[in-house]
Amino acid sequence: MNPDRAVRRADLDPSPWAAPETASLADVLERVLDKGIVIAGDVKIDLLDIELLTIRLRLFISSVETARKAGINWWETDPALSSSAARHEAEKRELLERVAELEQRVARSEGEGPDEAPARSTARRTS
Amino acid sequence: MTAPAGAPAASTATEKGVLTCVFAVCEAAQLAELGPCTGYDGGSAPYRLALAGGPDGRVLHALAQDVPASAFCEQALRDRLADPADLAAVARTHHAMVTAAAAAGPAVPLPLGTLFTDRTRATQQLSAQAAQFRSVLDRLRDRTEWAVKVYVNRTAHGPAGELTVPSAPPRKSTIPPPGAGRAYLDRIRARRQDQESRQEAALAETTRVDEAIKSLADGAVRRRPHAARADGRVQVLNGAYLVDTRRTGAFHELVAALQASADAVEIEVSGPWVPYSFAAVDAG
Repeated sequence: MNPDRAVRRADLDPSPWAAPETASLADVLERVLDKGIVIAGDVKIDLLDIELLTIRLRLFISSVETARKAGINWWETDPALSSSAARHEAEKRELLERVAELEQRVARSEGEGPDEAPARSTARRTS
Repeated sequence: MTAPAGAPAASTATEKGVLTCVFAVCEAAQLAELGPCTGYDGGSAPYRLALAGGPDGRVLHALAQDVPASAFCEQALRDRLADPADLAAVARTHHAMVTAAAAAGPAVPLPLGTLFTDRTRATQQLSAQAAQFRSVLDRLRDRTEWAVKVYVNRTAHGPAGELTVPSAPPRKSTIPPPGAGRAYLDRIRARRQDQESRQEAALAETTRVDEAIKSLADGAVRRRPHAARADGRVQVLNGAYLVDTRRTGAFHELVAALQASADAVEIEVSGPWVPYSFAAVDAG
């Protein structure tokens, strides 16, 4: 270890990190939860994503033995866990794509309205 | 190692209603002092779990705490994490513990809510991954993470950049003056073109910022940008960069220079963070 750093850490700057209590919540959440949630404004949780997060958490709550004893080892045999998560993602993606497509359509009809309907605009101009 | 033995006797481990929550893995000597960190409310005092050592003699420890199962079982966590105030408290506690574990050297942050039924199981499971933890610790040693967020600068083009709501379409009862419709469409088109050119300029500058910081960093991650905020601020880059502590000064100088020269974007920096974004342990 670099001695300068050891001195700095031990005597001058006991923690090299930004004070945790002053960190922005959005920054903390996206690190601590990784890709688990969507942040809009200060904090708004995407419920679909929270669902994914808690599904992941289940795996960590290893009441594994307890659950096995009770025969509840569905995550080992039942693909529903991953497939429902995948389905949520797929549904969300599809919705986002549709929103984007609709937005484009709206933008196109706003921006290019007269070009798409030349007959009408010509009529107006000549009237 | 002179560090005191971390984990008390595992007598409470199998007690009903208690789960073992693990926050981070680090090298043994680092956890001698945990400072003021008390972990989750209602939990035991934080303690160290010694992981089974590998052949290289570097003993790893996990920072852990016993927590009440009533507050950390699946359903309880599901409810708590869906509640913004609880989620914030849980996330901040986790973050404070991870930061404490990394106070004197590298630490591998574990996912929020890494829970085991007891200490023995936690020790077994984490020891099985000791080799991966070691390689991640080596990768993170003397490196910190900096968050860089880039936003479209809404004032870059002066008043022309202001987005005004176009006048409402004429009411049915009012016949618009000739050319009003054309003028309306022209206004919308101009606004769109202005918006697009600002967006393009912002994206070009963002690429420049990202490339410049990458050239100085040992790693880079682009996170999903935040959704547009209520105030209309648009985030175009949500980046995390792994920077060698010897280059921290250079990093700040670079960011200051980028901020000074940025026209189409605003650049915000936070850190240094424990390198959460670079601590992935391959599933083992």
